[in-house]
Amino acid sequence: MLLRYLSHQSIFSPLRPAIPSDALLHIGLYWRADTQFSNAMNRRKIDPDVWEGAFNHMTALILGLEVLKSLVSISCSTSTALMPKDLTELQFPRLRAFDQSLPSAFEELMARLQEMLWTLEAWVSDVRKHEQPAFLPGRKFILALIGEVAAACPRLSDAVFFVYMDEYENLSPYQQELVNTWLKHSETPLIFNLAIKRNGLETKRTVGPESLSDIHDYRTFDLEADFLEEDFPTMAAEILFLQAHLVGVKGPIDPNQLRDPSRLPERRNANYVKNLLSAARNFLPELSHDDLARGVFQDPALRKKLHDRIVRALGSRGSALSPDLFMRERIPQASIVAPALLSRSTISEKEILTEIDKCERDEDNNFTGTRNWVHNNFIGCLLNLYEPHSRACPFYAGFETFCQLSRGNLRHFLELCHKSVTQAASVNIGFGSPVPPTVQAEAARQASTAFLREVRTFGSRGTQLHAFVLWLGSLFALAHQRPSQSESEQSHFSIGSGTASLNDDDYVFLSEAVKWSVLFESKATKQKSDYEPENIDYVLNPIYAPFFNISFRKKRKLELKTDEVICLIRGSYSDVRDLLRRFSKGWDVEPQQISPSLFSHLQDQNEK
Amino acid sequence: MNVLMQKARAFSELEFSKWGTAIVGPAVDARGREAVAFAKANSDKLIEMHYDEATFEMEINGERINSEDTADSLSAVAASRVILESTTLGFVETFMCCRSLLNAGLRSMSILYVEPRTYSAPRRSQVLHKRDFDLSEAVPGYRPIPGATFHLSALKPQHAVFFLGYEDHRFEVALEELQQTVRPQDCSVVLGVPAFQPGWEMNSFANNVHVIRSNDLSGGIHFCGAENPAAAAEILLEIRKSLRSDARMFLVPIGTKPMGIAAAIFAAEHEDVGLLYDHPRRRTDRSSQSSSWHLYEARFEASK
Repeated sequence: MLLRYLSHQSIFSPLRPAIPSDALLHIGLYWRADTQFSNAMNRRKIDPDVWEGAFNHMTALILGLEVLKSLVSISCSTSTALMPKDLTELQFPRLRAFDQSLPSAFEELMARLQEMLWTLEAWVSDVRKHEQPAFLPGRKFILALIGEVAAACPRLSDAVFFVYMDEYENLSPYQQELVNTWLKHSETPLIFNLAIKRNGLETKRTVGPESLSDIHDYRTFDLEADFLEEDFPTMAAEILFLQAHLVGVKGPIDPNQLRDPSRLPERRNANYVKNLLSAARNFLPELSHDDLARGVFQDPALRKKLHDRIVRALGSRGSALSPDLFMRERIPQASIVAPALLSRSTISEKEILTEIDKCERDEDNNFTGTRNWVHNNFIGCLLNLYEPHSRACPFYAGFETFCQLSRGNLRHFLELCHKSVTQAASVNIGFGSPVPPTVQAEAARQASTAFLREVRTFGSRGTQLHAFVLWLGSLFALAHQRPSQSESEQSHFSIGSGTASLNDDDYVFLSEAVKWSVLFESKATKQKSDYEPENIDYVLNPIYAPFFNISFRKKRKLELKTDEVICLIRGSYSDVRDLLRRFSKGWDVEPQQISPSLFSHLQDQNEK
Repeated sequence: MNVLMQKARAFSELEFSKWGTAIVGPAVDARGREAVAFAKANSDKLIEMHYDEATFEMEINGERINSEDTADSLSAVAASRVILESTTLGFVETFMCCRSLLNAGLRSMSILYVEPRTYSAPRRSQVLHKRDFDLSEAVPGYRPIPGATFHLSALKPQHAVFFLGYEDHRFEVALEELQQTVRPQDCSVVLGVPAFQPGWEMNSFANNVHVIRSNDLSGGIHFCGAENPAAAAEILLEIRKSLRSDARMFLVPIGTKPMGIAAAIFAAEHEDVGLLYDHPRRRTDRSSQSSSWHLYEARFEASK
């Protein structure tokens, strides 16, 4: 999205009311490499030097066409630098030095470059049948063309062309080295920029003796981190309301203001941000923890389930106390936490009863006081009650929640909103009216399911990544079902010791998971000992949380042994099933308590 | 292309006379082993082929060659009666054999295909994964096929024809590849109806419909029997006739094998037709047991 925004088609869009005067100093050329075609320029009994020439030639043709198309965009925009009629008069006679067949006139040159691309295509497809074309020198040709443009259009004499390349990581190594060389030698008027997934820059080699050097040759901008740090909610709200505006729903934004960079300071104004976020929260309201808890008491099925859990917990410790003593409607959060506390052998039921009495009387107590039982356990216990349950937990509702679930990914955020609006429409709530939290939660579950399916499309190891997320999510879901909630809200893991060691391919796999944002890496926060080496925590992308009915908050870590991680990465279906069964037993989780959609295989096995 | 079709419950019910050469691929499941055994027992010579998409090499009876030299290796075979065992041969091998043998003058060949009784779906008991099939070990991605490679570009009108099966993720990745170069109205889809077995068509519908909808594909939805390459070929001809003269047609054969056979022969016959394929590695024991046996007799048109 960002690359397209920076391209000439967007910056010089006819819809843009005013083009900043300095836009001509920054003309973006978006190049999405056709990696399946580029990959054909390899091996096949053709000398590597010839393929290198062919890739240079392809670059010259594609970027040459983009430079010419950018002139069309400028001429059709409100910029006065170039008019449509000027294009017909443009002449680039000196390009003939590269190839005598290149015409001077603008339109003829454009047509000729297209024809040359088709000739290249035919030769690459069948190198035995077609004659090898004469190659243009990639970067040199583009620089010459830019020089000709500057000579023919004085208003563009200072123009700088910025190439924004997509799909770089899927190019062949020699092609990446060529692009690295162009990146290294980037200078006005031709600057290369690469958009790369995390861990995607696999080689820093160039075709020369020197490799790419960070800062000297390029700078890295971590867009995900920037979005998270640069107040993602504000941007997400603006885009949400812009989308709404485009379908006729008025909101707190002015589309012209959003399209005008000179009005950016207005959008940084604290009042503007406050009104914007307030409107977003009104549109996607969330429930407070107290409201979430009250919802349980208001819903007969959930209330009964809470009662049953208290009965079971008291029964398992042989207590004669009445379960109703722990069902306190006035302090619903404390009541919801009670079954977990009653499942812990370290606390007596009498102590819990005493504390809940104090809590109800608003005296100092362990539920809300220093031991903070409610704060530490409420969400884990709430999610536990919704499993297995046909309805999604409203914990997944709210504008801020959607921002956290999408973790800087606008596409995820918009899909959550889109599904919410669609769901709301199905219950006759018009677009623009607040979407009830229950509807949002169901939408979040649907979006999460869809994004989970999408994992299979993540590169050549997509099917393996998909299986990994399913198993890891299932493991976290099991962890959430521990009756005692002794480690509630586990949604990230670290790799500890074990009998087997991860091999190189396992590390490549984890790197692939990070590359596709299935997992996020973070520096380990809680080391058990000061003598442990620095470790990495792996956080499951929160967008998958609603599917597994687990917490999206980074609260507690699950420490896995190497053997267990290996099993999740490359174990067979039955290996992983056995692993989950072991955890299920160790955590005292009965398969009937958990979602049939996730764990029916465990139940099947138990029945046999 | 003209395809005559025979279907039988077992190979013993098929009518045929022996072949000079049988071309087979590696068998990964029971039906594949049965099909190879049949081909071996009923031909004078057996050739085993396997394509490596990463190196563009073809392994023929253990020897690796540049895949574009396949035609040279098979030129002598064109003089004999040939059967392609397509249950075990991959799509690219089928296409390369058809293109090579057609260019070498062969005008007809037999193609064998054995249907599975069931496909592997380990999470079938789980409601949400009822239609998740475990057919591919890994999908390396859309990599070019020499002889049918094309440059994805919005500079020329292009029309994509998708043959769809159970694996919607392969469909999604293909559409991702085509982003901004092929318009939704220039994408046709072909679904296998009737399916191999009653009810199986729902797997294909349920798995692909969300992709069709979310991408607003509107180039037409076509139906042909999942086991019927002749009907699939007719659809391809029909689509081709409807295109602008300067439009480029390319096929994405990620559906059933009989659909893939139609796509392979069609692309072999029409050199301007491109192929977009993701080279899935078939999972061992991806299906269990064999069901119907199909023997197709394909008659080629000269290469265009």
